[in-house]
Parts: sequence; C-alpha cells; structure tokens
Amino acid sequence: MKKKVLAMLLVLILAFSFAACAKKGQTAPATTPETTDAAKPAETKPADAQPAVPAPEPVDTSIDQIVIGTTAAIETAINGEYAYDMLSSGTTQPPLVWQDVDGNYHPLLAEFETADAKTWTYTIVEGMKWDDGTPVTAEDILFTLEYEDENGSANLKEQTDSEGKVTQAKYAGYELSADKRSIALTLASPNVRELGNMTSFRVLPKHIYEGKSTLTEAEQRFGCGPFVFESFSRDSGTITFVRSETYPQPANVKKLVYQLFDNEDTMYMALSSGDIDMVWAYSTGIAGTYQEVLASGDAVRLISVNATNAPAVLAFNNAAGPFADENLRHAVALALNYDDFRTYVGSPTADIPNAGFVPTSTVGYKQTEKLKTDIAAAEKYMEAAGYTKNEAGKFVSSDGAPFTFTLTFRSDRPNQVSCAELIKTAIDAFGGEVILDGLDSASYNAKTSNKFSENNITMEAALFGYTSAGMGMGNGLGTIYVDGRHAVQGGCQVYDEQFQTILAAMGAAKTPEEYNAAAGDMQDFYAEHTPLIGLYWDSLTYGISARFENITVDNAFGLNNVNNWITITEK
Amino acid sequence: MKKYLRNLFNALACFLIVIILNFALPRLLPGDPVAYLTGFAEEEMTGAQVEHYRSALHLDESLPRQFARYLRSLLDGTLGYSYKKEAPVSSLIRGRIGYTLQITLPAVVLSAMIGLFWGLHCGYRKDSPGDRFSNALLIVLNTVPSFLIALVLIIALCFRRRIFPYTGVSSAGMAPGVPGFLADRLLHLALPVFTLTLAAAPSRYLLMRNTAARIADEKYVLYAKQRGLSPKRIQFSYMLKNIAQPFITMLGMSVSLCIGGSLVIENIFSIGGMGKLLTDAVYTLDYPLMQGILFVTTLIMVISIIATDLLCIAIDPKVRLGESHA
Amino acid sequence: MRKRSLSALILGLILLAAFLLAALFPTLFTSHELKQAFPAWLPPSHIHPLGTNALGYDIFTELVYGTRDTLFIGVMSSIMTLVLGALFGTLAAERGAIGSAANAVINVFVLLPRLITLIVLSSFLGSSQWNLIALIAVFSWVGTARAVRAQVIHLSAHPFIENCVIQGYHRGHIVLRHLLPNLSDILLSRFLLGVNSCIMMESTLSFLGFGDLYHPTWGTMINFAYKRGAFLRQAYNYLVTPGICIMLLSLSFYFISMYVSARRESIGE
Repeated sequence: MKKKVLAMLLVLILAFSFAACAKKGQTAPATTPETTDAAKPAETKPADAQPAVPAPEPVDTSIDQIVIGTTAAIETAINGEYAYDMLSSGTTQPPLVWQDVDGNYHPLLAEFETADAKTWTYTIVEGMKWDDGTPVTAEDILFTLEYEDENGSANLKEQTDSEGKVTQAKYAGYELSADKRSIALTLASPNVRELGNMTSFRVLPKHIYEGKSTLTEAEQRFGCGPFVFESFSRDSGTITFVRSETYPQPANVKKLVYQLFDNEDTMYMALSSGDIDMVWAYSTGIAGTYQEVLASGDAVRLISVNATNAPAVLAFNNAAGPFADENLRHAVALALNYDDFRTYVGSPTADIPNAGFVPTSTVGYKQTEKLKTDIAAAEKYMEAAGYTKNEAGKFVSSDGAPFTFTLTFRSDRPNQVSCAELIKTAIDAFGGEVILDGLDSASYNAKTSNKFSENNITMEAALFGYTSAGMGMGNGLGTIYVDGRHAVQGGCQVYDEQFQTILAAMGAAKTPEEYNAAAGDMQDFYAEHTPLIGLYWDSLTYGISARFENITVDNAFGLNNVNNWITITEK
Repeated sequence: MKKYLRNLFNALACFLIVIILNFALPRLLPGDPVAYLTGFAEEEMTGAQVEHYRSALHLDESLPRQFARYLRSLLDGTLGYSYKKEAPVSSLIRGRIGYTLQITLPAVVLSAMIGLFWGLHCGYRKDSPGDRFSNALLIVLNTVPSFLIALVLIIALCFRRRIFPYTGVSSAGMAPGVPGFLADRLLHLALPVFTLTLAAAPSRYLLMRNTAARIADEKYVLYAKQRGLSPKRIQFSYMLKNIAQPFITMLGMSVSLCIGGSLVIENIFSIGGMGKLLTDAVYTLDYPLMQGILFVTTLIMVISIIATDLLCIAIDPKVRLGESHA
Repeated sequence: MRKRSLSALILGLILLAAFLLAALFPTLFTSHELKQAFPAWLPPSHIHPLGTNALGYDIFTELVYGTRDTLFIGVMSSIMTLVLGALFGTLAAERGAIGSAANAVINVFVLLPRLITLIVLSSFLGSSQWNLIALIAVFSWVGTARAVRAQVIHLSAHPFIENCVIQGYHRGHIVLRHLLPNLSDILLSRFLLGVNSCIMMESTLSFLGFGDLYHPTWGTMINFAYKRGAFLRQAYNYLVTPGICIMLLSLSFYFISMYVSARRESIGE
C-alpha cells in the first residue's frame, strides 16, 4: 500500500513540476495572457476597412484589450439574465437613453422628445444595426413592449389576476411612424421623469424573437451595440466581447474581457497589481475601506461621482411599535452622533445628510437643515413622549417601562453591522436601550418589506441601503420605501394623508417645475416628521487603471457604459 | 451477515427520512419564494405574474401533492426546474459539481494520507521531539481559518511571486484538446487543493496520532519491537490495521467536506462550484434548486456512509468472529 | 519524561489561568472601555498595544473583553459536543432497538443540511448564548459519536469485555466503568479539536445572524477584520491576533492533556 501511495505522490510531483516548467516563461498569471500586450505602446496597423468613418484615420491606435473585474454573479450570460443585462448594457445592449453625472439625459439608442411629459417620441439613431446587419427600428421597441406583456408585464395591456386585481397598463397607446424609425408612446398618466426608466430599457430584435418559442444561445446574445459577444467560459470565469465594426461610432477598444470574481479582496489585489484594468459592480462603488488602500498606490485612479443612493438609512416603523410616536423619532434623530457614521463607516468623501433625506444630486433636491446632535432637545422630545430619566440614567415611561427598541439589520453587510453598533452605543449612552437584531438576508427581508413579508412588516426600526434605482423609482425621493401602500417596499409604513397628497402631486406633475415643487414639499415632510433618517451620504467611487484617460461616467452604469468605450484612450 | 443487512436497512431508512426533511426544511425558511424571483431588481410583478409563478412552483397545491411532485422530479433525473436561474436543476448542478469535486477530492485524499502516515509515524514514536513538534505545529495550523491560509498563499504565490493563477480552473482560451490544457488546469487547481489540504490535515493527523499513540503501548507492538521488526513493518502490518476503523469512519465523514466545506475556498479563488449555488438557493428561497442540491448531497453522503460502515465491519475480524460466537 | 510533562502542565495552567483572569477581571488588563472610540485603524503604539480597529475600538481591549464570551461558548459547546457524542456513540454500538435508533439519529444528523437547518432553527429559537451553544453542539457531535461508536465496537470484542459479560455484569455497569474510561483518548483528542472548531463555528454563525455581534468573541473579531478590509490594509494586528489567542487557548488545553495522559501511562507502568 505504501508503494502505491509513493507512486501517486511521485506522479503528482511530476505533474506539478511539469506544469511549473511549462509556465516558467511567463511573468503574469495565466488568466490574463494578453495583459502584457496592452502595456505595450499602441500598435501601428495598416488602414482598416472602415468605410463609415469620416475623419482620416490611417493608423489604428485603439486599445487592444481592457480587462474588467466584476463580482456580478453571472450564470448563463444570455439576454434576460438580470446580472448579465446590467453588464451588457455597456456592450451589446445599449438602452434607449443615458444619463450623465450631472443628471442630464442624452440619446443612446434613440433620440427622444416630448411636449407634455405624456407622449414621448423615440427615434432610433441612424446607423444602428443588429449583429446580422438588420437595421434597428422602432418596431423593435414596440415588439419588446408586447413581448414583455406576453410574459405578464403591463405595458400596453392591463393584467388581471384570478382575484380580479388589475394592474393598469403603463401606456395608453402608441403610434409608429411611416418609416418605422420612430414611435410615439403615450403614457397612461404624465411622468416628467419617464426618461429615468428608459436608461434601462433594452430592445429585443423582433426579427429574431418573433414567433419562436425557443431560441439558441447565440440568438439570446444578439445585440446592437459597439461590441459583439464572443465567448463565455465558466472554466476561466471570463466573458469576452469584440468590437463591432458596424456601430456608427466605433469603440476605441478592440476587445473587452470581463473577469468574474467571487471575492472582493482578490479582485482589488488584482486591480492594484495591474492584472485587471478596472473594477465594476452595478450601482455600487468601491467600499470606503478599500478606497484608502487603493488611493495610496499609483496604479489605480479613483473617480468619485455624486451619488443619488442612500448607503445607510435608519428607517422607523411609523405605524406600529414605539416609533409610531413622532416624538420618539425626533429624540432618536437628535441623539445620534452623525460624525461617527461619516468617519467610521463612510469613505473619505462621506458627508452628513440633511433632514430632507435625499442626497444633493437628486432631481428636485431642496436644501434642508443638516442633521445634528442635540441632546437637550432630544431629552425634551422624550419628555413629550412621556419618558423621564430615572436614577440609573435610563429613560422610563410613567408606568416604569424602559425606552427600548429592536434594531433590525443584515448581519452580512459590514456597513450595516458597523452602523448598528454605533447607534446602540449612542442610544444606550443617551438613556435608551437598543436590542440588536442581526439577521440573514432572507429573514431580514421577511421583516422589512411588504413583498417579502406578505404585507406584515414587523420591524420596529431597521437599517437599509437604498440604491439609486430604488430612490428614483415610483415618484422618486425614496418614496417607495416610505409609502406603506407600496406593493414591494413600504418599510417605513407611512399612511399619512399629508404624505399621500404630496406623493400624488409628485406623480401628477406635468412639468419639471411642478415636480420640483412637490418634491420640495416631500423633503419638508421628511424633515418635519422624520419617518426615516439618512445616516451618511457618500459619493460613488469607481476605480480604473491610471493609464487611461478621457473616461465617460454614466449615472446608472458607472464606468461600464457604451460611451466610455468610445471616448477612452490610453496615456 | 445480519449486521450488514441491518446497517444497510438503517442507512436507507435514514435516507428516506432525510429526503422528507429536505422537502420540509426549505419550506420552513421565512419568506415567500415567489417574491424572490425578481428579487431586489425592485421590479413589481403584476398580479398575473405572481399567480403564474405560484402555480409553476406548485405552491398553491396541497403539501402531499407538492411532495409527490418532488419525488417525481427526483426520479426522472431533472431534479426540478429553477425559475430564478431559468434552468433545470440537474444541469445547474452538473455544470458546477465538476469544479467542486476537482478541488475537494484531491484535498480529501491528500489530507487523509498525510494524516494517516504522519499520524501513524508520530503515534508510534510518541513523545519523541519529532512527535511533540508535529503536534504543536499542527495544533497551531488547526487554529488558522481556511480563508486566512488561502489569502496568505494568494499573496505569496500569486502576487509577490507570480507562480500561480488565482481565478477559475483554467485560463481564458483553454479547452480540452488545446495543448497545455492539462498543465494549465493543474496549475489552477494547485493552490485551492493545497489550501484545503492544509486546512483539513491537522484534524486528520491529530485523530490518527492519538489513536496510534494509544495502541503503541499494546503488548503485540512491544513484542514486535522486541523481535526486531523494523518500525515500518510494525507500523504498517500491525498498527495500521488497528487504527483503520476510526480512519475509515473519518474518511466517510470527510465526504461532507466535498460539498459544503469548500465554500470559502471557492469564493476566494473564484471557482464557480456548488457552495455558492447552495447559498444562492437558500437566500433566494429557490425551493427546487435547494431540494435538488440537498438530494445530491444526501445521496453522496449515504453512499459513503454505507460504504465505510461496511468496510469497517468487513475488515474487523474480531467483530466477524465475535458474532459467530454470540 | 515526567519532568517534561510537568513543565508542559505548568505552562498550560498558566495560560488557562491568564485567560480566566482576563475573562473575570478584564479591567486588570486594560484601562480603555470596550466601546471607547479612537481614530480608526491606528497601528500598534504604547497607548494601543495592538492598535485600533475599523470602528476605532482598542483591539487589545476587545480581545480581553471577548475572552469571557469566547471561553464560555467555546468550552461549553465543546463539552456538550462530547457528552452528546459519547452518549449517542455508546448507544449506537448496542444491539437491538436502542442501537438501531441511535444509529438512525446519527445518520440523519450526518445528512442534515447545515445552512438551511441553522436558519430554520434560528427563526424558531431566536439567538441567545445558550441557543448558540446548542446550535454549535448540534452540528458537531456527530463526528465524535461516530468515532466513539467505532471504538466501542472495537473494544466490545476485547477479552476483558467478554469477561465482564460472562461474569454477568449489568450492561450499564460495563459501559460506565469499563468502556468509557477506555474512550478517554478519543474523547480528549476530540475535545481539543472541538474547542477550536467550536470557536470558529461560532464566528460563522455570528455572520449568519446568530450570536451577539455587539460583544464579539475572538472568532467574530477575525470575521469582522476580514469583512472590513483588514487584509487589504495589511492590518495583521487586527486579523491575526484573535487567531493567536485561539491558538494559545487550544495549546493550553493540549499541554494539560499531555500531562494527564503521561500520568496515566506512568500509572499503567
């Protein structure tokens, strides 16, 4: 038996040494064999056959390859897989419009115009073609809406379930132009912020999808963007795209390789050592704690963008539990130390939020007072709520019950764990008692949102992180999280008349000015009644290798956007 | 043999119980699985869509009927259909289990071998300086968490010295048939396997060493020493057979390492294995996927338990002979 | 040999005593308070012998205050694991209905899916320290049980047990007075491995939401360090020192056990 073991060990050693010998010539890890190429100066090639290019470009100085690290969990890499869609929105499936970091919308796949925020006309940009050469037309837009309807969405037709509950159709009607390049979609009710929804509207190819019940993988990776899908290898965890030569504005990069990582530490180490050129995760920037480390070297350039997300929110249950009493909400808001959140949890660019809750770059932002700590005022609110301090320094009500509440949070989110700790320390010192309730994600969801708790939200106070998309959904300003009637979220359980009135006004706005006015009212409502508090604001920070410049940042997709590949150059 | 049959029967009965548990437990997890189908894409599903999925997942049927469907899905090999990942469960598992096995099987074998031979050797020479040193070293190694081992190795061997790769099981562009594929694969697997081995070996070693140390003082060992037999002969012909049983038992248990225990390593080395699949399934309440993975895991475990129990009984002559006396 | 084991014993006892002191009288070791906030991520200095962590707490203070919970949870769950394992292992080696039943329980537990069962149990039980101990024990006892069972079967065929049977001793007597003492080696090595793995399992459980994140144990500290980027910052003072404490605790138990086994041997001579 021993001989067999020895033999096996010998074989293994031989195999390893063979492998080591085989790789001895390389200095870079085997997963990115072409990284060394990208570091070389730009190749000179004979003039490419690019008939559509107007300016004389005899020499191809485009970047050979960019490697992007991402922690997105991609399973099949076909259109329709959510994580893949977010990724391919920057390569093969450009959405209709895009938004820059100042909040302005620009055409991407289609030009847009509207007179009354109710009827929106989209015209496909000239020269857009599918991978097989077929031109993209407005019929594809119409087909996409109808296709989603067949799968249960309520775009052009309403959907009724068996209990008779009806979901209204989003669009009241449409009109295709004669040349099929434009479509005028009429919303059921006007929405000044409709373009925000169009930044994620990806179009399906009608001529491929129509009439088929099953599609090949290649068909499900069809696109009309500046890149064409080449391969997806699960063995190496890479998705590769090559430049499309038929896109109206050719990209300045020949090949994009997305390297899938499961682990952030490994990914950031790869970024600092130059194995990958960029990191990207949808709607997420680099965590504050990593930013300091990456900024200290020269290899990585950090780009900070004003964010419209709320990374840490303390939401109260306004309908049940201790915080149905507004005085207690104010007391807690005044007893927290906001500098702590900014310093210990946020990144170096973090800031203390205002009482109006929404970050400064939100559409409709109105200046409200900054949150502050005021123990004396907080104590007054406690008195108004019927609590007095006993000899031990703890607040008790008239019948001796201590001031205590449960704080629910996700224990797998480090920033929430840290915030929960800081809140407990502050409130315990103030005279209350916080019971920490750290949960796994499923249990957390079941306690904090309408959809996952089947309309039975049981948290008293909970920590949340709201994405930009979530903040902007519905009527914006994070109202989906506040409105107790929202079907999916509704964590704060607010059912106030006043709130509903302002919400309706925001939804009925026909012009940006009307919207801003209503939004201002909503922020005043937040400041006055404190249904929830932002704990800190932070900008989104993206990381890219320092050897690139002329970078275009997209508000929704960060650095992974179509325009970036067109403008980016190597130093 | 009666005991043989009884063991088999026992194992199968437990298998059935666990199949039932694998059906029941996911349904006890808090939350509504339909809600997770669009997850936090924050898309609102229309009422019609919710109904469609609810009936597709058979959540509107009675529990016994759901259980019958579950059994049927196990028997026909598809193991159900995951609506969240939009693929049959069996294909999801098949795509990933290969990676997990490629890193865990070598690790299990290597760590068991190291534990056996080193443990045997030190148990025989117990309290020698070598023994004490090995013990102390491996007790220390045992306290190091596996992710720390992995990260230290990555920094030392992947970034400081660029010997090994650190993502996936192959390089981009490699496939069976491309020259250098095997070498490339081995290179990718080396670090994960090494990490897992380092993480698992200490407990194997300590168990073996303590068992061997105990029997090192038995009369037959002393007699063999006196007769001048070489230490190797004593260890392998005499002591090995007597510590074989705990060793085989331990091997059987370590099969569970194969599926769940490699999660951290798979995460750090970005190998798309089973660990992540299961945690994804649990956190999105993907009942079909959960049930499918649990079934596969249970099946593998049961087979290994039956095998090791039988092996234990078969190689122990005392039990065999002892039975014929009783 | 005796002398060496004696020095090992003394070393082990000193370590254990130090930890016990830290658990019972933390203020002897550190003057800072547990949640006192300093600037974050400070390197070691003479005010902060191990520096500060992500939230600005003094790491050495955290270690000291964490001793109590770690010791309690780690040791208690390890003992419970031993008890359950020995109990079921011995029962499973019996013939007849009891043996089959115990075997069935062991096999079912081996096959139970850990993650899911943990979440389900927690949503029913809630998280307190005793629940945590119970959870850890529930998932650790099986290995011990199987090793014990194999050993008992092995021993049962030995002449001295046959002798007891022939002499008509009651089965329970045989188990308690003859079988169990011979299991002490396996139990000891299991206990040793057990303390360590229980502490580490506790940290994993904390990250699923069980356990008290506000009073972190050493294992939880390691997890926090990792999740908050200590690795990328190369803040090994935060990442590694709790591990060293765990190692020292395991070593102390090991030294004590070395003495005990050496003593038993010399008695046997």
